Amino acid sequence: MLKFDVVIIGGGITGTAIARELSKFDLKAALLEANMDIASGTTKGNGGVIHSGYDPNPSTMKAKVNCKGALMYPKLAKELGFEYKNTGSMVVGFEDKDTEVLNKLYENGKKNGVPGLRIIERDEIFKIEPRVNRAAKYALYAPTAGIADPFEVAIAFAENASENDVKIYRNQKVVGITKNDEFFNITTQNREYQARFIVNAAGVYGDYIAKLVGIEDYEIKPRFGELLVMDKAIGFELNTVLFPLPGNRTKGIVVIPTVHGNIIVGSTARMTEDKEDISVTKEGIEELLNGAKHLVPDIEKRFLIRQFAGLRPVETNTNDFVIEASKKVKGFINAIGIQSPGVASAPAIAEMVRDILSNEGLDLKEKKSFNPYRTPILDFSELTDEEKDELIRKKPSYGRVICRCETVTEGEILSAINRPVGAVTVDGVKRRTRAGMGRCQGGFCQHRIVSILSRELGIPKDEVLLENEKSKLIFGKMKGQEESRE
Amino acid sequence: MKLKYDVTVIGGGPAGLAAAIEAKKGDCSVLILERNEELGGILNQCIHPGFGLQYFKEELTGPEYAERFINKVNEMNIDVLLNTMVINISKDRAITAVNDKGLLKIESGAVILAMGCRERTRGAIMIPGARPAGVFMAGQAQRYINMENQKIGNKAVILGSGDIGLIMARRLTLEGIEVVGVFELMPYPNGLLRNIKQCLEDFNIPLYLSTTVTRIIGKDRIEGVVVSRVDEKLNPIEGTEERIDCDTLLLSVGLIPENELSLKAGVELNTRTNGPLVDNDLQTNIPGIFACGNVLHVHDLVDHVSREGELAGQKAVEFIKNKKERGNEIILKCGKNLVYTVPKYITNTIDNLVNVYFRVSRPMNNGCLTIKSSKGLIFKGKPENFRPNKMVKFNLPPKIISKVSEELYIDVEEGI
Ligand SMILES: Cc1cc2nc3c(=O)[nH]c(=O)nc-3n(C[C@H](O)[C@H](O)[C@H](O)COP(=O)(O)OP(=O)(O)OC[C@H]3O[C@@H](n4cnc5c(N)ncnc54)[C@H](O)[C@@H]3O)c2cc1C
Ligand SMILES: Cc1cc2nc3c(=O)[nH]c(=O)nc-3n(C[C@H](O)[C@H](O)[C@H](O)COP(=O)(O)OP(=O)(O)OC[C@H]3O[C@@H](n4cnc5c(N)ncnc54)[C@H](O)[C@@H]3O)c2cc1C
Repeated sequence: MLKFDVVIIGGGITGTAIARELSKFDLKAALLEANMDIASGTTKGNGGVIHSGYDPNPSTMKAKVNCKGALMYPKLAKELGFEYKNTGSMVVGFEDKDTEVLNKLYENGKKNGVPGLRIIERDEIFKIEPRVNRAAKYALYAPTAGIADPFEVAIAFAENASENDVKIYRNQKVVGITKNDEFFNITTQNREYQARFIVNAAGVYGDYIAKLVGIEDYEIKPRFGELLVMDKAIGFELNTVLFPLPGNRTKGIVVIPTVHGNIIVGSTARMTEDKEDISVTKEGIEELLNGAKHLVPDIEKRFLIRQFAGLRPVETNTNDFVIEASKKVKGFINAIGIQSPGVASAPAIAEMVRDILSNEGLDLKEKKSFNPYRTPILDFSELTDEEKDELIRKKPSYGRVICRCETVTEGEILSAINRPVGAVTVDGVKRRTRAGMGRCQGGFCQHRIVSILSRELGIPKDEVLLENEKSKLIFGKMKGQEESRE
Repeated sequence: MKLKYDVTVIGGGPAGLAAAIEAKKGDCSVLILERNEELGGILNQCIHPGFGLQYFKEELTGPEYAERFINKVNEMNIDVLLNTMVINISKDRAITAVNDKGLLKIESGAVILAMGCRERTRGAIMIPGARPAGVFMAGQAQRYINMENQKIGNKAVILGSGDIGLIMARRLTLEGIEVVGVFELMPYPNGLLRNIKQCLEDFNIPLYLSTTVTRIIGKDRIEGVVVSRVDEKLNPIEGTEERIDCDTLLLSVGLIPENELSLKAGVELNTRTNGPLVDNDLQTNIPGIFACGNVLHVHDLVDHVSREGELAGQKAVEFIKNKKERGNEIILKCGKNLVYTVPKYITNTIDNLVNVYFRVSRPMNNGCLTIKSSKGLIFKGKPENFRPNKMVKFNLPPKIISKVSEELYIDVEEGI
């Protein structure tokens, strides 16, 4: 039996941020993730905007953590070595009457403590972002907004937590929880864990986990949303995140630069029942393209390289984040219903959960050995020619380019596999290195990545998975013989 | 490491090999840079016969065809660097490449682009639905099976009737993998007729025209697809959806020239084909940078690729001697039924025939090739059948070229 002070259930951005926060203290903590890899739930399928925080109603939990979380990003990016860009954002209005909505957002933002908000006009709009539709008239400019790759952030949190002794267990799906006076007994498909405190960060399954300990108060339903990725070959990069005027439920179709120079268009929004289905629809793709062209007319369909989707975990009673200690079950803390802006808010949610745990009786003593820094996977393509040459001479694997579209070398892939919480699947390699994320979508390199994973993990090629447990890519050798197991 | 060559060829497929051989014949120092561990390009995975009928007047497999050129390259002692990936080209033809020994800088009198093409992906054609494992591009599947000896599934649907898809339909069948059918969006097949016959009909694999995959089903591994018939505007017709169970989907939906590297050097591309805009010397807008093979435009037959490579090699040699830049005395303009022409520009001061390649945008029976100048029709061909799946080649005689200035309109027209 594995015994811990705290067990976090769920390895999305919420759970990993909490794990990293708790790794600062002298305590035993573990994170359990059901899937083969962390950051493979909602955290892999979203827009990656670090919203500045003018949007949530000031009375909500979202308002408490959004602005604060966004302001924590620059420092975190430095410590954890993930890519973050402080791009700012604009909500673009096209008519005089739109200033009414913009002013409301402005006032709201001030109440939430968002710094530097301004209403700007044409000249300044086009100076900040020349690609905006020329019909734009007014915009709410939020200088503290930014962008990050959400899974890169979550992976960075998890790696750093792991290096500071939080145990990260993947492929551990929680199926049962019991409680006696002192601790919880947590059962997964094949193991048991013991914990004094549980943090529930299970995304769309947050209500299910709560029910396992008898808390019936929450209902989480997915709000489905689709996104598009445009090829870098579109020939321009955006300087800032562009929003239309907000719709009823969502922030409308947003055009987002990524830290790697692509453009993301997101997101549609539709309530669904199915907590697994992230199939994209034809209608969704059309809606996104139209919305994007409205803000940035230069966006063209032919530069589309990928469509994907995610499920926002919506707590239906409150339509708000639920970050609280259960009153019914002592020691059970929820961090659920983390819909948008969950990525922006994650660092602040983690601090809030830390404080709740402390209030509930967890002893937080700072750990002297805590190392806040993480060395990221080296990005070969960003090095100067001299640096590249020197690196290859030391480590020849950096001279073998595996993914040609994104120029990812074998050295980077080895580093992704052989670090703490390393990649175990083809998609895991992709999320950590970008190999297979470019315009050929793995057409040229997937088989090479399969070979490397097979070699490094010591498993036959036909056991190398795309992403989930059953996502088999190949079925063994063609010519009748089984793959030999070395 | 710093190197210096008269001619550097990027890509060691059939186009690059032919270009290198011709450049070497012209007494130049020549280097081939190839990313893979062997020469031959895509031919290495094309283990089927059907190569070389025009060039060698005999039928060879892909590797056999490549071998003849590779042997020549070896006999002529042409320098080759394998496992070496070019990562940058500058306007002044300085090439940066990496291999596991380090970073190379190569100064080059002329550069020949021969990087081939990549396959169009699921994302580019926007198939709705889930994103499970088991969706492969046809060439990718060909590599898994022919080079890696890996089984990719048990029951396959093939979307797109491009040649690679057709060849893979036969290959899968021979390997005991069931092929439910080949589904094609257009009302006509995209591959060569001989492949329809030899790869589908001979194996009783059905081909469904005006039909496409409208949804992919399956969370982890693909479990099925929904196919629908499409109308004349290629929109799916409601009510025609049909679910087909399968564990594999192959996409054979087009090839795209790989010109991201060319863009770094400032090479202008045709936005419809993604291939460089060249003159009849195959020179791009950047002086001394030439293009040939699938990186220039997607070829059906490797024989044409080799010929084009040879021309690029010869012209690179001439460039080293006379430094003549891309000519644009005559611009070839496409009429409404043409997708593109290669070349785009013609240098007027020539005495040889100019080979022009083009593709039509839709099938036409009894269409006539027409060539017009600003003054009117100057040439009309005999009625013929034209198909988008067949690249057309014709010769522009010097006597036509000498008569026109500035622009020539090329088209295929019906009923004239
Ligand atoms: C289309 C879309 C666009 C968005 N855009 C933005 C944006 O631009 N900016 C922003 O800030 N936010 C955005 N969001 C919101 C953001 O993605 C979410 O708030 C955030 O990812 C939620 O993270 P999470 O860790 O709470 O959930 P998840 O990432 O879903 O993590 C929960 C984890 O729990 C695991 N789990 C579930 N059940 C169990 C179990 N029984 N045992 C063990 N583990 C379990 C899951 O496998 C999963 O990995 C967007 C969301 C969507 C859908
Ligand atoms: C799957 C498939 C099946 C085919 N079947 C037939 C057939 O049956 N009959 C027929 O006649 N024709 C067939 N063809 C067509 C014919 O084989 C191709 O037209 C021909 O191989 C193209 O030659 P190429 O040299 O232009 O490109 P390729 O053969 O693709 O060679 C390009 C080379 O460039 C290298 N390269 C690319 N980028 C870089 C870089 N940055 N640095 C270094 N090297 C680089 C690549 O590794 C590759 O080796 C087929 C084509 C394909 C794709």
